[in-house]
Amino acid sequence: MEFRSTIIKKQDVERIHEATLKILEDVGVDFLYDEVLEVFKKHGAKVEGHRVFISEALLNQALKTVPTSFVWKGPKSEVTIGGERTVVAPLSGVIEVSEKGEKRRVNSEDFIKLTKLHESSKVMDVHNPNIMVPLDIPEDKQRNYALATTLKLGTKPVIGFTTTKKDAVDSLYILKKFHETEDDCVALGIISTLSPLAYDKVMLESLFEFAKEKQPLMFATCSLPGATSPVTIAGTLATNNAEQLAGIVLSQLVCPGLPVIYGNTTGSCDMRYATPAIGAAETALITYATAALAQYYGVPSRSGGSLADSKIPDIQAGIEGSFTLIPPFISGIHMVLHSCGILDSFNLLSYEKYIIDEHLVAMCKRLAEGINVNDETLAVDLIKQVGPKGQYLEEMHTAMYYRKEHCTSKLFVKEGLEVWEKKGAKSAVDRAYEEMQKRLSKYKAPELTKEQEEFLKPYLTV
Amino acid sequence: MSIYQDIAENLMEGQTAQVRELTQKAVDEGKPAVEILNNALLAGMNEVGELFKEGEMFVPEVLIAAKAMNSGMEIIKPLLNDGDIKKAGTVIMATVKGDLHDIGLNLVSMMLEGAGFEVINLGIDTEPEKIIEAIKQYNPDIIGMSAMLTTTMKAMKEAVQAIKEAGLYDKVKVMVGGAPVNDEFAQQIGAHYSSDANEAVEVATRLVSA
Repeated sequence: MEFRSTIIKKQDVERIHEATLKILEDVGVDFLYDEVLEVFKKHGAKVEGHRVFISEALLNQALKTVPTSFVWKGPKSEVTIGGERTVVAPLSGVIEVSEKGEKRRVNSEDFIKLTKLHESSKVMDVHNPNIMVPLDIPEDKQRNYALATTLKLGTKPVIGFTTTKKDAVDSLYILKKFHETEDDCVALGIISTLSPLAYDKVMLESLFEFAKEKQPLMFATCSLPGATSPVTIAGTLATNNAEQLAGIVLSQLVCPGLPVIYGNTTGSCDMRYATPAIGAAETALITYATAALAQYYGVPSRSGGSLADSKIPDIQAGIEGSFTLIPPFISGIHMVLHSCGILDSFNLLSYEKYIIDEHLVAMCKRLAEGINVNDETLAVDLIKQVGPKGQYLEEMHTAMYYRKEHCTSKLFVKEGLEVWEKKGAKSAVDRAYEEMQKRLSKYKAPELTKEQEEFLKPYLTV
Repeated sequence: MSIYQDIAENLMEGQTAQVRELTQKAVDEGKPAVEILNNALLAGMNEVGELFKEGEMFVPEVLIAAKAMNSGMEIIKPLLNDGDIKKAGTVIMATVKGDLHDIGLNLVSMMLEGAGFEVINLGIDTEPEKIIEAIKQYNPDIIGMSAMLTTTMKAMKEAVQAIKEAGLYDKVKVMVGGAPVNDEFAQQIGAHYSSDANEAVEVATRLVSA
């Protein structure tokens, strides 16, 4: 097996795997839902209280039925998870938003605004009704309103809800009905682990609902090294891996062949405050390891995206985001959640950073694409023709290959200093704000059928 | 699509051969040369200019579009009457004495041509005497000078001085540009500054219409 990343070696992956086997067999994982315990007992696993011990044999049996890839459909586009392309997905669960230096609590207006940006984005592949809770909508209607609004404004594949059993049931019903399908994957359920080494009841109830409807699941680990996993990166990876595999085994016992994603967005922890430090070199390392481990098990992988702890879209945010967004593309992670806009350790969306991160995604894709070496790109004939002291500006070859070979953006300031000053000395952040306004003013809602409109209406009426 | 549109679109893509062929076809069909000029070639080039200003087109694309335009111009030029072509002006371009850099010089020259200027490019390491000679010969509206090095900036000053001494300073506008040059320096030596090729076209256009 060949890993695309050279950061983590094959023998390290194998040692993490061996440690994981010991954890699964000897330490066990707690599943805080009785129905799960019955499933494991039926398959011969040792169960003590809520603690389940998974043998190597049971793990291997379950891994055999995991699909290496699957197609996830949206109203007008689809993505393949587990293919060559890294699928780019929105952030999830921000509490506040900021623009032009002003901060506010999330509401339906911002939900709509960000969803429109996701829809009009050239890099965003899917939608997520979990981006934020529309707090101005009555509490019992928030989830369905969010999902219906996403379907009204967007055409890309949509993540479902796992926040309560009812949310899961409702979102599965709405998504299947809207897509008029029984068999296609049209929802993705995110099952978060309760680090270290546990799953809570709500998540497990949702897991069962998604499995019942044969809809894909993503297991999401996000531990705090030194707090909810060992402080060492290797130790953290071992427990994270055990949580992931325990969830994946359960999914395959409940529904063999159910598409699942191995998802880890564990970062660092800043022990001055014992708080998450997600914009970190360690996040990058864990992402490389996640890609390698998921590949080792033959399961599609998922990481975080441009993650930052900074509170404003500043140089810290830029460094943190770059550090964490490059690894998934380099290592061949299959899906990037929280790709664009995150500040304040997952809590805050900055609209300006969102727009800038879109360009960062484009740059990462360019980086991962590598250098295209062939006769046309080597251009020896052209080099002969232009000769020493000549210039390439006027050549057709230059015009033809510029856009293919170079990733530019109007956001980033590349013009001369004086030109920039004369144009108002606007930073990338200023330009991002302008770009956002332009995008929003051009946004057009997709055309829905009469039936679809009628179907969504009650959920949108609040 | 009309043949004019077809020419304009090929021009925007820098398709030199197609523009030449289509322009010939338009001529053969009996289309008036002045219409081909205004509705096809200049229409396409103006669109290129707009897209470039908005950052939607890049320098190399503008340059090959200008090349494509020239291929069409060659065909209709003999058929045009005096006054059909509204030349924006004549510009002499040179990198000053002691300076061997010409990418910027050529870029500005090509961009000016694209904007309808006639450009006489004297190349690198140009002695003041040669500049004076060229001004006398071509009677330009503008003389544009480039310097890449801090050390060759003083050659710009000397060249302007030479133009003054030759009594030509009132007949020609002087433009300067290049990495070490700025507005303040340009004013000191009695020249007009532009900070990139795009601005150079703007400044030149302003100077000839003043």
